[in-house]
Amino acid sequence: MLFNSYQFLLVFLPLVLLGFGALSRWEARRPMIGFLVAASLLFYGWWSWHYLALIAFSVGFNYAWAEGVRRLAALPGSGGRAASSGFLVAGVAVNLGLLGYFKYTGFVVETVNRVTGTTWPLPRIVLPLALSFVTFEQIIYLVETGRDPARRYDFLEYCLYVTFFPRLIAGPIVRPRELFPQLRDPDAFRFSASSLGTGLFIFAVGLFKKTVLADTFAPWADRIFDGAASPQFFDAWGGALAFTLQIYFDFSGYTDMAIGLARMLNIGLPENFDSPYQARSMIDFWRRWHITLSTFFRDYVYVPLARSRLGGAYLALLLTMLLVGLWHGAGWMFLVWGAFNGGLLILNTRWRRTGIVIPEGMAWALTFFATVVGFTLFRSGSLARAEDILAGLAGLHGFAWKPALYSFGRHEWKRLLPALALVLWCPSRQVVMQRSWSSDWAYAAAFGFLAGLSFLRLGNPVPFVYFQF
Amino acid sequence: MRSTPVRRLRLMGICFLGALALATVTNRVADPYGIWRAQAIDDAYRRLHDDRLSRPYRLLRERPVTVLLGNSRVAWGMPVAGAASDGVFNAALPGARLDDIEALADAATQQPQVKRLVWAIDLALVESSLKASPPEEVEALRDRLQGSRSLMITEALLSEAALADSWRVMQRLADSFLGRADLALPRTVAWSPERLRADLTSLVHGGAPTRDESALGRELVEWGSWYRRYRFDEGSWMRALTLAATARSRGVEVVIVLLPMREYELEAIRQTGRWELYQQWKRRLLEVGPYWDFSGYGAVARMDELYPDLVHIHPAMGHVILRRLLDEDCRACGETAQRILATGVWVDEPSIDAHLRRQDAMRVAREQEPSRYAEVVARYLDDDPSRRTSEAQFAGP
Repeated sequence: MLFNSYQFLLVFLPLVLLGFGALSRWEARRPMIGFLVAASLLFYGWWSWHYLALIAFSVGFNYAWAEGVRRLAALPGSGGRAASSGFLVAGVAVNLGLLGYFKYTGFVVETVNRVTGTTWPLPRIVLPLALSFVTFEQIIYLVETGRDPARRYDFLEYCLYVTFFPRLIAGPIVRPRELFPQLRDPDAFRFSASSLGTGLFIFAVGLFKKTVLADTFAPWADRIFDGAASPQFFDAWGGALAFTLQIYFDFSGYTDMAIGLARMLNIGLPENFDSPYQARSMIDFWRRWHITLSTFFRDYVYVPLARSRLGGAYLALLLTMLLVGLWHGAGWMFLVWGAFNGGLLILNTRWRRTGIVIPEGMAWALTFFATVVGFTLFRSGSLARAEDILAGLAGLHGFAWKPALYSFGRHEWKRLLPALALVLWCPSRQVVMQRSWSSDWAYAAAFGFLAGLSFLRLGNPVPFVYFQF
Repeated sequence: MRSTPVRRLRLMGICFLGALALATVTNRVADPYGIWRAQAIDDAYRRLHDDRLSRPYRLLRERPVTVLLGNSRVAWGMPVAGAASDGVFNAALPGARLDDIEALADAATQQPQVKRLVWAIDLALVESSLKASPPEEVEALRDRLQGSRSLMITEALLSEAALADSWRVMQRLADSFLGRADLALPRTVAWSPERLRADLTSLVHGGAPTRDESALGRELVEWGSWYRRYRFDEGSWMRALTLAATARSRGVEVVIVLLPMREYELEAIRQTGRWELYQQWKRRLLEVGPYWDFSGYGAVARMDELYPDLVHIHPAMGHVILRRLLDEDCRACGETAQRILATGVWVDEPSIDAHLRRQDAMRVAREQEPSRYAEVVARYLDDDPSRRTSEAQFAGP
């Protein structure tokens, strides 16, 4: 069930809100958590009931494993601590193994076939929805349990932590310390008109980003990236910018919807985007783009690697970004994208050490240019296609205004440029929401416009880009 | 009034519902797809923007006697205002594939008042490399042909695309009302001889704007690539035969027509080595039944003013042909109309050999006589692979 579908908006969400409202009157915490877990499983099972068993196994396994880590750590002496660490590593390995099997088996077999000339059949393994996000959250839980074994949460709370439907499919990635305290807050799960109103507004912003903006740009980007012709300068820039906008509006739209939905249920989720295209450096960009994934990799991959002194901070950075790329998909272009970003981050770090300051405007332009080039690599299906489009961006295929039938014309540019201005100069949704709205009518009218126009575009719901990751 | 969260929530609800109500009322009144039988705006202003959406509903609603079937060559080449104003309804869809045509023909011939199908066929109908209509789109088309109310609501009332089309309809109406342009289509089907004479005269003698060569070249690259990889699909052919047989078994006359082709397209067929296949295809077309052929080499193929682009015909030419197909007199349609009508050949078993021989002779003559058509096509159909389009890109007619 997509957030941008009639089933979700007209049936599922109203029923959940009604149930939430009814249960909040009784102030019954555990039934409320049970209700939200059941709703979340229904939400997930709507796609495929088959994968419910997998997610149930994953949740049960990780909770039990974390208990094992806790008990081993409680054993007296250093032996318990060492056993706990080993147990923890094994648990992380099982999670990564499961993710690896579903996500990377085909990629590995294909690569081996290509390199060695073997002809092993490619396995038909379907990646279960949300597995990447669910796995990461459970790894976080295991690691946090290892770091602080004294902290304990009950199974029902844990189930909600993993399956909470607003962020189950594509994040934001939540850490235990961000969610569990809220579940134990006496005010949690209390119906609030203020939270509902704010949540609805945030949700409407996200729905607008997805249905009105991202879904408009998607076919234009497809036209250029999936086409066979070598794009000339304006076509290449049109396609690259369209995808740069599409992926931002699509994913940040999803995140806004997730945050808005959780807010309606009185639960706060971490922000995932902070006007990333206004970044003044690549380091700055990665602090603003998919924040919860960046911080996950920073804390659980980069920092341990850098501390291990295996190859220094730069190698750790490069490896981390390669893994970030690989996390996005089993494909060489994702690895290239990760390496590209890793290289830029190293360059950025070294540049900072020189103490030379670049003027702000130029810093922004360079960063945005690098981002567009990076997303061109990300979206291109192959290295050859990426080269073709990058050559187009450089004008190596010519500068004709409308060189092909499937090109960018005035119609496309007239819509692309205002959206570009929106992400480059306007304040983020968080900043806008924090301002006090002096007029209820203005607030309501803005909501009516965003939600109304988005609702009118629900006829053919398009899945979110990040669902595939 | 004091701001409270509850008041704000109420206002949000009011504004949201108000926005939806405004859109719904606008779409209901403007009725851009002609679904709701709205009387406020004449059908003639509804130049169907989303044919795939509106034509199925209107096919059900307007209860025509004659139904036109085909792809964009028919949809744009024989525009019919007000759908069934004279009992003729244009159910052709741009980019229509056999799946779509089967669904439309089935729905049409199940209506008892439908007596005749005019089916414009071209090579695209039975080609296997051409991308089929996505199954979900064919499914939606079938649902519309069954009069799905839920689709009518989500597609024609609570729809931003419908709202944009409503706006276009109202703009057209306003332009017409203010005298800025006469944007309504003629209401008679086929268009009156006077209208046709005036239109054709203005096209041929009035210096109708012709497309620049680079635009033509882009189309030639596309179509040339497609003709190069053309594969006749026997399975589709059998389905086409079944379609015609089913319609006839329901008491509906099936009139087959091949619409005029511009000499550039004929040259593309010849220069990609598909001429023989095209001739054989015309012979096999008799399995469907006798047909009108306007498509070969001849004077009309070189009258560039009558074609807005590489493969489509001007509506005035389309309506001249429609007059012939509907057995309506066109003697007062003017000299150009007579030349168009003279191109049409009634092809049946006794006449097929002579017809194909004539076309072959013209083809040989074209090969021997240098022409700008052959030269332009050769220039754009060179063998540079980077200039070819892929299967995924080609949308077809």
